[in-house]
Amino acid sequence: MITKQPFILFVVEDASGSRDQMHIFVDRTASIADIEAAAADFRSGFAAVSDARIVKQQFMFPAVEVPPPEPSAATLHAHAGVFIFRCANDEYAVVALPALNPARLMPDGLHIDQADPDIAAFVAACVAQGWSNPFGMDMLELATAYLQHRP
Amino acid sequence: MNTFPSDYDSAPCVLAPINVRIVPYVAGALAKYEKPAAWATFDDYRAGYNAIAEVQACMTALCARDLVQAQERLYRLLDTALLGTAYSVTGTDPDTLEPIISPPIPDVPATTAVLPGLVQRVARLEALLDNAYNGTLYLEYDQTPSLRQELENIRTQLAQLNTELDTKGELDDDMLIELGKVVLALA
Repeated sequence: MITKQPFILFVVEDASGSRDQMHIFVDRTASIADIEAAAADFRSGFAAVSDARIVKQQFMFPAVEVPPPEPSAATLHAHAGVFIFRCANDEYAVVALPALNPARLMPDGLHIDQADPDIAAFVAACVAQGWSNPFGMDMLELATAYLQHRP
Repeated sequence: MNTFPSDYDSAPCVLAPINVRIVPYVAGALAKYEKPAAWATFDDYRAGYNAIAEVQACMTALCARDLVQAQERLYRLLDTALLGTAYSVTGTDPDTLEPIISPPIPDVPATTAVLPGLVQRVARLEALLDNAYNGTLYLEYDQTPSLRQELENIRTQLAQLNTELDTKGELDDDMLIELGKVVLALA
């Protein structure tokens, strides 16, 4: 895995509604808080000198596999293993794992075998790593895991 | 763009049985509602995401089969308690990995009852009382004579004693023996 230079993506929009993008590269050792502060400073500076407006920003930490490894089997990505976690604040998190290895399913062909050591390790990692749902609520425990077709 | 229903928390739920073989397709079709683009505002997105995720969780965790199985367990409990039917696990379903329980639940309840079922136990108590008091003969209870007959015999013997005393002024040996029998019967 080769890690590339992180950047902030700004989506800007002019008075006609036409949109464009800007990329501002940042120090890869900078903390999230530092990047957020830098982005806020940039938005202030941008507003002072541009007639367009910023409508969206994203922090990007790109990395690529060089060369990309071969898929381990012919399973289609739509054959997804979906893990639904209970989160804080009575919320949920949906983690869809593309191209789930069919051998990880229970004999009913629907449920994912949570006793499988690799599946258990994956679930434990999701909970232990402090991952959250899209709204910042930490994953607490797995509610269910089963096969879905997500084309 | 979708707005999340404002009365979601107070609205009732519906039960929509889905064949397990198409659960992956039905659940997968809901994935588009996990994305912000499907919703009008951030608040709609957050509420919609969590509601859709909960539906997906319920599609396997709280499926119709669980409800049916709960009802079947309740039937077996009543069947065993009332009619004495003995259920047992006789294997494992290779498809669902759930226990196979025998005998299967019948379309109509059995017309006979066995112990330790409550119906049979009450019937046996009724038979016991009927045999003991009235002398009615049953397969399990065939005690004779009945308590009623015993009391009648005692009453007759006491009447004879009374007559004997009135006529002779004393009891002879035979009557003393009969009186002893009465005392033993009352003991």
